[in-house]
Order: sequence, then structure tokens, then C-alpha cells
Amino acid sequence: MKIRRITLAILALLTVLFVADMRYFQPRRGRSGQPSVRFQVEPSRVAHFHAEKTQVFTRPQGSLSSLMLSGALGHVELRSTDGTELVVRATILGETEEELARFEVVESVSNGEISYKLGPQTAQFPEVGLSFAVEVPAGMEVTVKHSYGSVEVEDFVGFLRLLTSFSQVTVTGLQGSLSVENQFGSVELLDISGPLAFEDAFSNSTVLLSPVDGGYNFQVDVTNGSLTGNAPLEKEVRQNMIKAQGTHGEGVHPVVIESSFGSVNLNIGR
Amino acid sequence: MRASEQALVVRDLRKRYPKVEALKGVSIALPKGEIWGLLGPNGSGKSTLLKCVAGLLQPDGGEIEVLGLPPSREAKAEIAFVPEVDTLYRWMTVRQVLDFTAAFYQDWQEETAGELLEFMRLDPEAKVSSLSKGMRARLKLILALARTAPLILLDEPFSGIDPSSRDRIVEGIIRQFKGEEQTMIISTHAVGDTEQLFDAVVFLDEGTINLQGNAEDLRTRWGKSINDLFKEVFA
Amino acid sequence: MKRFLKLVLKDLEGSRLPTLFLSGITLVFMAFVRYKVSFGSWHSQMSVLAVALPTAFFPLWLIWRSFQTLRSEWREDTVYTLLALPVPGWQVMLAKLVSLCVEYSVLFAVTVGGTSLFFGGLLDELWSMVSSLSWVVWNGFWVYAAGLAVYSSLIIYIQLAFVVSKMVGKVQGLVALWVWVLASWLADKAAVLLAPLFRWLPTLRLHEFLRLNELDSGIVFEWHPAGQIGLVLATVAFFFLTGYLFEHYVEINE
Repeated sequence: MKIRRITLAILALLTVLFVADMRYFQPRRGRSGQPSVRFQVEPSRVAHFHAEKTQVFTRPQGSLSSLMLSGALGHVELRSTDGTELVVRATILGETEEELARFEVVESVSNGEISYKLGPQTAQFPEVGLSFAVEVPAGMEVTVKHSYGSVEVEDFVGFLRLLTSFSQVTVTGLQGSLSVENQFGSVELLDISGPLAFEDAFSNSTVLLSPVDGGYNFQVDVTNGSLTGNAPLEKEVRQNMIKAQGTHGEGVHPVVIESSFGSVNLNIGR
Repeated sequence: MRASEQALVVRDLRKRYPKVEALKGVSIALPKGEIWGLLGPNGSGKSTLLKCVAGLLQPDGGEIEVLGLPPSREAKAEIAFVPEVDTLYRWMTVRQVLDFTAAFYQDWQEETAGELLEFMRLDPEAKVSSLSKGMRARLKLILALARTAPLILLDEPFSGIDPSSRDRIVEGIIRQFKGEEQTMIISTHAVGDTEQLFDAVVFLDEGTINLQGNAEDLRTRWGKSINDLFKEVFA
Repeated sequence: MKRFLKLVLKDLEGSRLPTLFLSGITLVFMAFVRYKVSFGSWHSQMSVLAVALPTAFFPLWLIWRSFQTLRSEWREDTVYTLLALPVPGWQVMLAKLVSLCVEYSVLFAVTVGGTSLFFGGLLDELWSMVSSLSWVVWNGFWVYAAGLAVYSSLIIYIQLAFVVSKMVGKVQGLVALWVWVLASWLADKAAVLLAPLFRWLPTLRLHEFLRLNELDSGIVFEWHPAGQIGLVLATVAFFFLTGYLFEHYVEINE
């Protein structure tokens, strides 16, 4: 009985300390923490393709509201124009020209969305690669799926969604909204004006937001990684997790970032 | 008399369970070389007392000294405790049980163990799970008697076993007990045939000692056997 | 040492049947899936299930076994024997830890062996990705060792939780769970508090040690152990605390 009472007393004391710690000391606000584990995979250097076949599609925007590009093992270049035409230059990459003869880029339109992908259906990416150079009318919604390569977006106006892996992603100058889901590689989102949703794993990323009317509202979760930059964030650091939130200006535009096993450098330009 | 000259000294021992106070300040001093009967009805605190001495229960108050040693690893090495319940690993064979026990006690007598095994009529290759309750009781007794432990504690060794096993156990105790170097405490609530074993007795009732003393003195003083005295005290 | 070995052998013997039973079931299950796949009854992707199912189940089994090895001592009253032995409590706990680690090793070997035996063909694609057999053995060993380290700490926390719950004696399941939470919290505190003392430790470049670079030159995998030293020390302290509590304060059931 004596032992039980002593044990219960010790457990009760520890429970009080535990609750107090959770309530008042955890997470430690404003403390900067460094991850104990850093894991990163740079894009794989794929085999050099010796042959290529290019197809060019020029379409009036008309009733088209969105564009979907599915590529891999190549390079994607995307930018907005003031015109009303959509221009897609698709290049299939392969070892030999004979091999390329079996493949072609397939265009399809459905419910106002036009999409480009490698055909025929049995085609697989490790055999060949697919690059795009695209000009879209401003304001269009664009989705890019790309793996093992690079994606470069410049002066984009509209709604952009990037689904990438093992790629170097660079977006320079965007007005509208941006959504990025990326695993492995590196991501640079520069001069972004507008809402941002960014999910990332196993890569290093840099985000530079341009000051906008209404400002930004930040929600950032970094697991097993680091968070740096000049964004006005209030950080809560646990052992391997950083939760941060804050507002810039009136906090109108949401900026939601979730990153694990990587680093996030979040800044607001002057 | 110095404490170390006693086999066991218990002072003001208290032990409380959630709903009952099992020991209410028990004090006894057992000299070396005797067999003591710890007598009392069920729930009188006999087993609790032995378990406290063996280090299986932690007292709430009081002191215990085994050969002058406080409860400790060293004291455990001097005690051979045979609990009432089955404490044997059921998947072991009789031989494995003996080997296992032998590894932990320097006072283990391999030859004695062999003799006892034969005397108790146990097959060394038999699995514990295949033994009857009486056989298991005999095996547990071998584990205690094959040692030259200075203090042997037998908790209800005759409880619920057949008469032939009981006779073997009694005979085994008489054969193996080394009076000059050992002390034995046998707790029981059925005095009957075992009365002959005891040099001295302690009557325990509801956690307190009613009566204690040399068995022969008590018989002379009260003019009756210990068994009759037990019946009268706990009537 | 002889006493400790006896304790280990006792615990190993006690875990022999359940381990052999589970290993047998696993191999039979793998063989069954292989048979079904070979004769075209099932799609070849079912092979993944045959490997994934045991891999997912074994950790749960091992956690249960860690708890069960202690619980059975009380349930079968053999704790009388253990508590009466003149051995340090930590040796009793270490013996159980060692036997559970052997159990883990056997199940690891069964998973690896069964996969190689029955689904070796499926590994062809994997073989083409890795650099050499020695690379696989080297990294396989470290996967095993890392799993063993994690499992060992888990056992230590389970042992502490169980022993303390026995000292309380009531609502033991809840108490054990709560002790587990508190112990994890204390270990975390130790890790945070002691981390600055070990900042001087070098960053370990695991990608070079594990030769991950040979898979892809872009792999960087680094570990700075400062944050984990306190965790390890606290776990070791908990282990000895459990042994001390077992030897001096734990009681049999009454």
C-alpha cells in the first residue's frame, strides 16, 4: 500500500509537470530549431537522348478554360501571353529516330480542358521523354504534371497547378494563384503575387512573395526540416516539427506551406 | 543475543492490502536450527508474512532481518522459499527446473537433488505440465531441500495434495533438514499429522500473534497437543 | 554470467513456440500466395501482399510479445520464482530484452528469407537498380540494426510501463499507457535539455556510409545526433530504473 501511494504520488507529480509543460512551455514560441536529419535527393541525371521529334499545336482559346500538360524526363517552359492563342510545342525525346516513330503527342479536349500527353497509351516514360514549350493566353488555368526533369514558368498570369517530382522547378513572376505539389528535387517560386498552396517533401525550396494589396496570411508546417526567411512568422518549434503562422498586411491571400524532410526559405520582397 | 545469531528477526511488521490489514505489527525471532510451525486459519497473514520475508511482498512498516541481513539480494540467496501456488514454468521438464534453479544458488547440492528426485518418485524427463498437483508440490520441495539454504520457508506445503504425497513430503523434510545449519518455517492451517515436525510454533490470527513458543513447552503447559491447542485457539 | 544466460535461455525457450508458429504460418502464407500467382489464379501483384502483410503485422506482434512476456510471469505465478532469485532486476529485464531481440531477428530473417525464396523473381527489377549484392547486404544489415535499436527502446518503455503498473496494482492497463506517455515525455525533455551539450558532435553523412550515392549521386542523407543523445541516455536510465523497481518494489499478485 505504501509503495502504491508513493508510486501514485510520483505519477501525479509527473502528470502535473507534463500538463504544465504542454500548457505553458510547449511548443516553445520563437525558438529556432534545427532538424537532426536532413534528407535530400537531387533530380536524377537521366540518360541523354540523341533524337527528338517535335509537334506544334496552335489553338484559339475560344471556349478552352484550362490546359493540362503531362510530361517527364524533359523540360517544360511555360509563359503567358497577351494573345488569344494557345501554342504548345511538344518534343518527344528518345534514343533513335526509329524509336520515336512509335510515339506521338496526343491532344484531347473535354469540358473546356485541353490536354497533351504522350501516346499511344502503352507508351512509358523511361523509354522516351517529353518536353513542352508553351504559351498560354493570360488568365487560363494550367496544370503541369512532370517528373525527372525541369519546369520553368515565367511571367504567368492565371491559375497554375504544378504536380512535380524529381524535378527542378522554377516559377518567376506569377500573378494569380499557384498550387505546387512536389517530391524530391528543388523548387524556386519567385515574385509570386497571390494565394499559394505548396506541399513539398524531400527538397529544398525558396519562396519569394511580391507585396500585394491585402497582404498574406501564412500557415506553414515543416516536419524534419528547416524554415528560414524574412516572412513575419511566429514559430512553434517541437523536436522535429516547426509550425508557423503569421500575417503580412491585412492577411487576405492565404499562403499554405507543408514541407517534410526539406528546407523552406520564405521571403517577402520589398 | 545479536541479530545475526538468529535465523530470522521480524519487528513490528505491517502489511496492508487495499481492503484488509494482513499484518498488524508482527514481531518474532527465530533461532537457528529449529523447525517452526506458522499456524493459523486461512487469511490469518501466514503467507503474507512468509512472502514479506522472501522479498515477494514489500512491508508497509517494520523490519526484517534474515541472518542479520536486511531484505536484499544477499538475503534472498540465503532463503529457500516454497510458495503454496504453482510457480514452475510449465513448459520445462523436471530436469530443466532443477538445472534452472541450480544455476542461481551456490548452495545447490546436485547429489542431494538426485536422491530427492528418486525418493519423490519423479521422472526427470517429465514435463511440469504433465505432473499432478502432488507431484508438483514434491518437485517444489526438492528445489528447497536440495539446497543447504540457512532459512527454508514452506508455505502450505500440504495444501490440497493427496495423502501419499503428503507423507513423502513430511518424510523428505525429516530426511533432509540439517538442524545444525538450517532453520525452517512451515506455514499451515492443517496441523494434524505435521505436528511432529515442529520444534516451536507461532499462532497467527488476523495479522497478530496469539501465541508462540516451544512446542513441547506448550504441550506441557496446556496439557494438550498442538493440534488440539490450534483447534481451541481458532475455534 | 551463467545466471544471466540461464535467464536468457529460459525466456528464449518460452518464446520458441510462438515464434516458430508465427514463422511457420508466415512461410506457409507466402508459399500459398506464390502457388496461386504461379498458376495464374491470382495477379502477380498479390505477391506484394504476401510480403507486406507480415511486415505490417510483425511490429504489432513484437509489441504484444514484449508486454506478454512480463504479463505471463504474473498470470502463471512464475513471478514468484523470478522475484525470489538472488539476481539484479536489470538482469531479469535484460534477459527478456535479449530474447525478444532474438525473436525480432528470427522474424526479420523469415521475412527476408521467405521473400527471397518465394518471390525472388520479383526482385529482378530491384536487383537492376542496386549496385551490388554486398551493397544490399550492407544496407540490409543497417535496416535490421536500426529496427533492432528502435524495437529495443520500445521494449524498455513497455517494461517500465508494465512494472510501474504492477506497483500501482489497479487499472493496470491505463496506468501502463500513462506511464508510457510520461516516460516518452521525460525522454523528450532529456533530449531537448542535453542537446546543447552534444552540439560538438559531427554531422554524420549517412549517404556516404550507406553508399546511397551509388544509387543516385544526388542523394544527401545527414544526421546530427545531438538531439538523440539525451533520448538514448534517458532510455538507458529507464532500463536500469525498471530493473531497480522490479528488484526492490514490485510485488506478486495478492
